[in-house]
Amino acid sequence: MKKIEKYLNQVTKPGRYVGGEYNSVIKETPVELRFALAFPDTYEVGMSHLGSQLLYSIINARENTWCERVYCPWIDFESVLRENKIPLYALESKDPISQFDILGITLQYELTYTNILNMLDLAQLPIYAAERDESMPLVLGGGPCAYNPEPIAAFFDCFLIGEGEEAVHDICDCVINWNQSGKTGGKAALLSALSIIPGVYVPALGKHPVVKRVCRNLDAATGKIVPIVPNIEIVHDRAMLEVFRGCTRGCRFCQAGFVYRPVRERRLENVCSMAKQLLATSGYDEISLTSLSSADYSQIADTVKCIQKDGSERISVSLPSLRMDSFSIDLAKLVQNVRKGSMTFAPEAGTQRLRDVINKNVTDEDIDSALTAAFSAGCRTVKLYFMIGLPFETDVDVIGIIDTARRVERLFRSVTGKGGVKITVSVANFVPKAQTPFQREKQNTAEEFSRKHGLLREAARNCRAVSLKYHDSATSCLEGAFARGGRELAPVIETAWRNSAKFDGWSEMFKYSVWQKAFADNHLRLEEILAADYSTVSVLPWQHISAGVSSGYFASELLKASTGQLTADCRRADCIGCGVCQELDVEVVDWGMSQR
Amino acid sequence: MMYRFVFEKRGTASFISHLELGKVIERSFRRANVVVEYSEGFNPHMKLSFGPALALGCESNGEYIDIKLSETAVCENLLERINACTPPGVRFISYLKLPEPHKSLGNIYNLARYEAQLKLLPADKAKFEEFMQSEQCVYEKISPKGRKIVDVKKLLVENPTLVKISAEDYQLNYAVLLNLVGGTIKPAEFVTAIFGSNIARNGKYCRNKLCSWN
Repeated sequence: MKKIEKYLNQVTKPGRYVGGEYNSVIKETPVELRFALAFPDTYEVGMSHLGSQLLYSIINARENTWCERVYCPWIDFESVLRENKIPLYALESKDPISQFDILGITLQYELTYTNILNMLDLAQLPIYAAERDESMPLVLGGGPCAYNPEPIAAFFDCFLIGEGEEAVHDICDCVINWNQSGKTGGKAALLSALSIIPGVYVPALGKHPVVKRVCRNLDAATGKIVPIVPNIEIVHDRAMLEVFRGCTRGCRFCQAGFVYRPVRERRLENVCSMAKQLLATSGYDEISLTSLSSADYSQIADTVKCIQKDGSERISVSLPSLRMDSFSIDLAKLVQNVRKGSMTFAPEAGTQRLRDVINKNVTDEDIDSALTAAFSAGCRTVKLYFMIGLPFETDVDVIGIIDTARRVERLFRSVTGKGGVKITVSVANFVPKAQTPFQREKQNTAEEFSRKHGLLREAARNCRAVSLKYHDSATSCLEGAFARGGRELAPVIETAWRNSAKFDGWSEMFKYSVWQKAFADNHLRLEEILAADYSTVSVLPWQHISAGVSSGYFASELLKASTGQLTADCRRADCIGCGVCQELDVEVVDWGMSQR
Repeated sequence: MMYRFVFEKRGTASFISHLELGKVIERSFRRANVVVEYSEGFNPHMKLSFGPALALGCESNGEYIDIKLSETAVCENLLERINACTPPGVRFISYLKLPEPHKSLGNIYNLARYEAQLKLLPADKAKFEEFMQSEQCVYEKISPKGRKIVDVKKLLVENPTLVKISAEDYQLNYAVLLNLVGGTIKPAEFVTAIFGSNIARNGKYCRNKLCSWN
């Protein structure tokens, strides 16, 4: 701290780099293992990540292990570190990252890859795993991007595929045993011991098959979560409680929907007691019931009532990712009674035909009834999420996005009798992801995305209620290359990073020309990678990584998509044969089953 | 009932901005289960009001905040309870029940006393003498809102002192007015005006006291 203190007046938001948050953990007594948990983006983004908060609580609950945090320094603080040769440090102890036993890096988004290299370099560690010896931390990756780890495989010693709550204990114990053996056999011995742990992938040992880790019982897996409460404003500045994991609605584009299977709900009693404890230990006045589709929680209404009763009317509950069909008037009223905010819905596609292709299971009537409920509860601002570039899409579907928004505007008029609704239409570029039925589909080119943006702009002209937002095409292309690329991309990431690419997910920082040059320097072309036909590839780069869903199921879902056939949700109905429960020996946990 | 609290802000807590401090204190009181009254209306919030803003990165030995506590909130070990729930560096020192009506904090405190720990070479010391002799000291404040020229000398009500601590370490003690037209000046800006930005950047600042000045 002494070393950095005098530089903090020179940087923006110095609170990012000092720690000292309520509930951050300082362990005074010696431990057997020191774990640095890294989020390769800014403090404000990383602190908003529930998974990191969960792991922090779980690892620190181990008496023999101390888990600390590290985020990617913004460019001003990076200069301070580099100019003064100060190594990247963990926020709690301020000790250099290179002194830790494990550096665990969460992989939430492909465009954080250059930040990972930057953090390794700022930690004064070699970026390539092969160049790091046993005196250096074991670099472990995990999170959604680990489902195709190949583009970054060369930088990591190992990956955990799937859920970390239980596996992190196995990994910590393995490293402790190796430490206590005097690191017998060196790093090679550690890596081969780790590779035996279910869910652990060690790229140095070749593309050995790995099946994801999964927790059978969510209530048992987590235990008490003590959220770190930031001193400075962060992106999601509220308590977060995951009411269930997984979603089997089966949207065919959605990686989360396939990799987090099966659905496992927490028990109502546990949700209520966790909410009470989270609010009491954090002092937050807002709690977000997070899940892939929160309103699908069988006990959602009782949960909201219970939180509001316990916490007096001062506690506001937010439900992100509400589905348009499971949304009830009661629920809208329940969550809106303290602060009237805006509501967000995701129809994803602009026409019924395309919604059937992606198995969204949302009809125009669903949209109307959900929004009627929202508007009559007093909501005046809606955000609608869509995607363009989906498989089997035509221009009619693209323009249908704006038609849908216009219908919502008319609906507001007919429900409230007046105008003044604000509709934000947010359009993302579809990027095919590994471990989904669309994993072999072609991605739109940057030109195609831009053309469709033009169609949207044209259609939304003279529509004052609608504000249209869409994503940058170039970043989507880069994301697409990494989402399905192989080991050949590691030198591209290195080259781009050496030419100062970082924070690529931040539009003001993204330098497309640096990336184009990085591909060219490595004799690759981004356009060619994106145009690659995966439909005929026999071995996909992520073939050895399994989320438990069978490849036959992906193929049959793709076939159904091509003819617009729907697949039902297995949560409260019959098994649809995706293979997860049998492959992983887990079961759907849904407390509403008995009532149906 | 309105209570006036005095608290200090040290170490990592000095990097909590004035805007963010409200949330930090609200959360501390909620964790401590000390019930604060809320405003009425569409978007109820805790009834808190702060004194003059403290610059980011500056510590303080005593900041003021008025908080409307619920009748049941005040108890014998109130400070202990709150301090068990504040983040490191934020410590409540004392409190007092306010009579009604009372003046707001912004109307009472218009002078701030600061200490700045600086590393100075002999040449820098000469700059201090120069500052003391000069009639005026013009400084251009640059903020996202624009540029503003202030005469630093006009903000002073007494002569600053420079005390030697060790070979290169000095402590600058000074007091500036807070409520003049054209605004006041942050500690780092004050030190920049005298010694330049290189000295100011490596300084360590603490607001010693807020006072009233007629």
